[in-house]
Amino acid sequence: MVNRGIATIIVASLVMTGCAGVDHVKRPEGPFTIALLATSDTRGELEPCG
Amino acid sequence: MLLVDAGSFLTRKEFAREMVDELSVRAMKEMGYAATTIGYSDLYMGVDYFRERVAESGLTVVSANVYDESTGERVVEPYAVVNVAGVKFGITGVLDHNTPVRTHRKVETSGVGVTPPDEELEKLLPEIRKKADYVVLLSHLGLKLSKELAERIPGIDFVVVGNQSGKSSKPFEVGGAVFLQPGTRGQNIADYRLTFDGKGDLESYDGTVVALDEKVPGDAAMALELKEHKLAVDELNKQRAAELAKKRRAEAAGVAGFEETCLGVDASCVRCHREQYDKWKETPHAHAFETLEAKVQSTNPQCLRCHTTCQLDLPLDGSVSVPEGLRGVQCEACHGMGTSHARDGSYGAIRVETCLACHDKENSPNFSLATYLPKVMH
Repeated sequence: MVNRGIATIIVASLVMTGCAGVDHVKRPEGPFTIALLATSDTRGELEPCG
Repeated sequence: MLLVDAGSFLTRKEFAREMVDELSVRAMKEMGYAATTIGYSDLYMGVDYFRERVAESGLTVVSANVYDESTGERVVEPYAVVNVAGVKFGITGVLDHNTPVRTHRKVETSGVGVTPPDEELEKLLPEIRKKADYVVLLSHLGLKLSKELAERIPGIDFVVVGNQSGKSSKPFEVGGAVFLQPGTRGQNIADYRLTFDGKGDLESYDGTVVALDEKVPGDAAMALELKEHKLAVDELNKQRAAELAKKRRAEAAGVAGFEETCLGVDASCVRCHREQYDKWKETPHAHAFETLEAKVQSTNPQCLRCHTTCQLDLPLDGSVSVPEGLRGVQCEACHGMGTSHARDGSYGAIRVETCLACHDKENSPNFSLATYLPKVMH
C-alpha cells in the first residue's frame, strides 16, 4: 500500500505539472510549476498486513 | 517533478530483510527519486550492508557528514545537482552527530563516524550554490534540530525533515527556508507546487501532506512488484517452516511455548461453548488468517502475530511457525490461555488493552471499541 500509493501520487503529479516523467533541461516559456514531493523514514514498510 | 526522501529507507525488521530492502531501493529508483540521504535505520546492519543495497539499485544517496571510519572518506557523495525544467536543484543531506548510531545485536559497529552538520554545510553550500539555483537539504535531524540549523546556516531554500514522527500539513518557513515535514513510515507524502516565472525565479509555493491511505488507489505496476515479492517470500518461508517442523519432530522435546499453553478453539473451547463458537465463526476474527492468505501474507511473522492466536510474542525472524490449530483470532487470543481457564467465573474478562495490542494505529487506524466490538460479540 505504501509504495503503491507513493507511485500513484507521483504519476498524478507528473500529469498535473506537465512533466512526462523525465527531466526537461530546457526552461519552459512563461511561468511554470514544478512539483516537489518528499517522503521520509519509509523503513522498508511495503504494505500493512490486511 | 522533483522527488526526494529524507533518509531511513532500509528496514530494521528481521523478516526477509534483504528481500524487503532490495525491493524498497529498487522501487525508489523506479519511481524516480532524485535523491535520498542516510538515516539511522540505513546503518542498522552496518555500512557494508548499506553500500551493498544501494549499489544494487543505483539509487542516489547523498550525505554531507557521514564518513567511513575505515577509510576516512564520505560514505556517499555529499550532494547531487538535478535539473528540472531548466531549474537546478542542489540536494544534500545531514545526520545528527550527537545521536549514537544503533546497530543490530549481531553487528558490532556501524562503521561510520558523523561530523557536525554545520561545519560540513558551511564548507559545502558555497560550492553547491555555484552549481545550483536552489538548495534542498534532506535533514535527518528531526524537527527541532532542523529548525535550529536553518536559523544558523543561511543559503538553504528547502528543508525536508526526516526522523520526525509527526507531519505538518501546511508549509512553513524557518530562517528563509521552506520546510516539508512528511512524517514517517511511508504513511504520507509531502506534495508541494513551486511556481516559477519565465526566468526561473521562484514566485510562490503551496503544498500539503497527503496521507497514503485507502483513498489513494494502488499503482498497478508497483502492485505487481509487491505481489511477486510476497510470493517469493512466502515460498521461502514455507520451505523454512517445513524444515523447522521436521527438526522439531526429530527433537520431539516439547519445546516450551504456545503449544503447551494455548489449546486452540477446535481442540478445546468448542467442547463446552458451542453456542459462542457458532457465533464466533461468523465474525471477522474467525477469518483473520484467511485475509492474510488472500494477500499472500500468511507466512509473514509480523502479520501472523495478530491474525493467529497466542502469537503476540512470535519471533519476527521466522524461526517459529504457527500450527494450523491456532490460525485466526480465536477465543484464547482475547480471553486468555485455555490452560489458565478458572472455573470460578474469573476467566475470560476482556480489557480494551487486549484489543489495542493488535488494533493499533498502524494496522487498525479506524479502530473504535464502540463500532468494532459489536462485530465480534458472541
